[in-house]
Amino acid sequence: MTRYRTTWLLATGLFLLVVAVTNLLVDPYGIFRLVDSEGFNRIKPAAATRGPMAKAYQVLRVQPKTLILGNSRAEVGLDPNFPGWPQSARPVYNAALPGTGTATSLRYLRHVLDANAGSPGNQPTLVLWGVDFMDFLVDPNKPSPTSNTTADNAESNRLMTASEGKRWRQRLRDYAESTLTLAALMDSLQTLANQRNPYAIDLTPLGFNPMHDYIKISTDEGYWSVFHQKDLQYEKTFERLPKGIFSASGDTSSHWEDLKEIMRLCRQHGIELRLFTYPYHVHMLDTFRKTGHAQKLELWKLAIAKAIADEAIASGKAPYLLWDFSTLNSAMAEPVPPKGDHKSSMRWYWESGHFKSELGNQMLEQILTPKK
Amino acid sequence: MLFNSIEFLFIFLPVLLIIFFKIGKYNRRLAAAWLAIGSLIFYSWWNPIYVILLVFSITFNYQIGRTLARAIHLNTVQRKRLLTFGVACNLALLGYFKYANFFIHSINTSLGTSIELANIILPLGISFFTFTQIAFLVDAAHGKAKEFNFIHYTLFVTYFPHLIAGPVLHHKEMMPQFGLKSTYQLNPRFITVGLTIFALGLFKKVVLADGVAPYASPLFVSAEQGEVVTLLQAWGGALAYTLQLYFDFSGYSDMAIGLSYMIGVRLPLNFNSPYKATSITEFWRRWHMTLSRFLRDYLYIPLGGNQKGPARRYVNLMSTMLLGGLWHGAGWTFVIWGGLHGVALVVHQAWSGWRVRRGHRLDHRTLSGRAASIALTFVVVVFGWVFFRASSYEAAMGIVSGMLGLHGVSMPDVIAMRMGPLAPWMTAHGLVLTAGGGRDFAMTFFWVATLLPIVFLAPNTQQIMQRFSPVLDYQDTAALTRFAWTDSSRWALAMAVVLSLALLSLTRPSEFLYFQF
Repeated sequence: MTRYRTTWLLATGLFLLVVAVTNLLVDPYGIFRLVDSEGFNRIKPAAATRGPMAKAYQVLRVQPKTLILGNSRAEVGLDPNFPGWPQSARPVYNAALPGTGTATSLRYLRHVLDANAGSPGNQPTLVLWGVDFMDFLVDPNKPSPTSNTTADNAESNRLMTASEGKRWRQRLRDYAESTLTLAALMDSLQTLANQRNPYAIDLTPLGFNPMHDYIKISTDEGYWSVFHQKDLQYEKTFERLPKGIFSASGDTSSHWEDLKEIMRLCRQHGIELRLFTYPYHVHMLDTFRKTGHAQKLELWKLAIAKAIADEAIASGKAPYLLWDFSTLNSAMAEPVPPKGDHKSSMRWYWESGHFKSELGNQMLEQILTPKK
Repeated sequence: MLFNSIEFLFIFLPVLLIIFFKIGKYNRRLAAAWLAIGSLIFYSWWNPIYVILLVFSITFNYQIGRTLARAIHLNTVQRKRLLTFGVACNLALLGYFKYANFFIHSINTSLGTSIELANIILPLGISFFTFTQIAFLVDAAHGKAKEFNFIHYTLFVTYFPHLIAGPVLHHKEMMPQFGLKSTYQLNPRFITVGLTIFALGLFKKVVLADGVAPYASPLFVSAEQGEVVTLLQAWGGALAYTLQLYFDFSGYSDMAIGLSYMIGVRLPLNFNSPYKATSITEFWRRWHMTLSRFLRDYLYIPLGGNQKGPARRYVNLMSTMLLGGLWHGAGWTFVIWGGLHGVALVVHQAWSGWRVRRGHRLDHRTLSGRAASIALTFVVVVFGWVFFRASSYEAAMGIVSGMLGLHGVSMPDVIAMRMGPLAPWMTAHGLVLTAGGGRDFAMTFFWVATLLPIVFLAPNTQQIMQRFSPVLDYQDTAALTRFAWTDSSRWALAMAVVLSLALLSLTRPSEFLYFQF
């Protein structure tokens, strides 16, 4: 029985070692980046759904000069490899995270600032932040939740804003879960299998999601179908969202406080902050109308502009620049191919909530060459 | 602490066992006390306050039990009163923690009142330690409890392998084992066999049960939200849950049996391939066997069992199953579940009785007859689990009507697209195609198709480990030696795969949900 025990435990150890090494080399979530080789592991399908983990570690490795913050619209729309980025602004890291709001943008900014606290030369010099109307919606009748940037959860604990002990434990956990789990092994196999798949979902080393999977979905199902499904879904979601942009306590809410704090931090570190609103497709604007949000969108934009002006007066510096891409233009009104048309493509949009990087590039051109 | 947690496997268990065997060399009483303390620490991991409750319950029952057994001056009436008092206190405690909210809620719903009670947190394992101790009191009153060593008693109640999820232990089978010298001596053979059984249980829990679980919950969530569920969706989710529950619970029992075996203490068998049962009566002899045994000995038989004529027997069966249902959870869906099983048992008993009167031999079965009996039993059990798992009667009925085909048949369009010429034919006959959900649909049926053959055809853990009689009172003499475990290299490699996969499934990287997409 001794031989059985020895063989059993040794074989188990060996098996675990093989799995760990495989996961470390393939690195399905892109958090180690020990090996980065085209055709082997460059495309990371599993990283795309694990943004908070992947980006928390990636952004520190990249040490970007420019940091992009925002939600999924920015993640899939703003390409860090856009040729128009000036050399002085590179490398660019897209730290935008799907489904997140102002609190996460603030948290990731602090994460990067705290990481380079000892070496100001490595701090980003430019921050592009996509502010989203949807993120500012609050119910005026409910007390505004305060932004909790030190919550005790995995997403907070892996950031530099957490205490060293918590961060160390979380890192250990992330590393162990990315190497010594069956789920990671399955994701590694998926990674290996998808290297030659032009439609594989991906998260690039610079935090960009090129939405390759949507090329296939939109040809298989047609743009009409994708728009239709998403429009229905957005309408259902927005119906449930509150209609106010301020808490009952006055012209503020935790989101406005986050905005102020981001502006303050950028000022403090000499970072140039450029804000922009997102170009919602007309279908989305129409959804705003149906769910009773349309008028609030206009008021919200004024309030953003006012917050920026107030900050400039208080700091005695030139105001931060804001680009409004949410006012109707021809790109936003791009017609959707008719039902059943699986051939026609769209130039600017994947669906009403998410614009393509082609439109993102045009936005970047404007943002990067501000007219005085 | 859960058996499938990293802190249990790599810290608690090794430390507990090393110290236990070290002390056991010199002082068995002390070692037993250490095991009891270790078990309390294990329990307190979840909520330290409730350790006080557990300790109180143990001391109280031990005192009452000892008085019942030893106080010669008590007459029968006094003894009966003391026993009633003891049992009532246990039931009151269980009633308060487990059923107060349910009771108040039922009153509020039926009378339209709005009585409120602070939200009571259910102490983990309270049903288990209440039941084991009621059995002890009853046996003490009847002079059947022989041993009154307080440390052994405490250990019998708190013994960590069984404390949270059973098996329901009996003092008669446990306390003598804590008195054996061999229990306190490190035996590498026990450790190896115990660890092998534990690994099999861990695999069942974290690879199989946790693997299929994500395909069971969405059905119950949509039914709770009042969404209409169609035939394939309803069956897929209900079967996924049926499999999840079995692998989860029986895996946990296997882990308990394996852990205890490492100390050389055998636990009673709790699951014996229940889905292979050819009748609902047999199902209850194979599913959660220690609970069935408890309900039989301490509820069904005291109610009169089958000794008072068929009508009384059916009433007793129904009462036992309804209460058994309520024991599983404080909610009407559990009562309905118990009731369904009660009805099924009554029908089966009546049917068997009728067949015997007609001169049929019940043990004579053809292969197809057996298969049909297994299938029928299984289908009844699956319908039962829907009520067991659903959060409300409405949700359960929504799923049941889906399973009966009352809401039609639908399928993700991407799946239909791959079915070739079959798809147009099916859509012409009423199949509705839905957008999205293709992957989940395919995975649900992949898991169901993988796990069903295991529950129907594969040998179970104690059949695999039969050479070492890992459990009490159970000897499977059926051949099956082809699958029986030996200490060969081949088994070592197979178990290495099992253990590695289980260890690799203890946790998974947190996934991020795209709720805006």
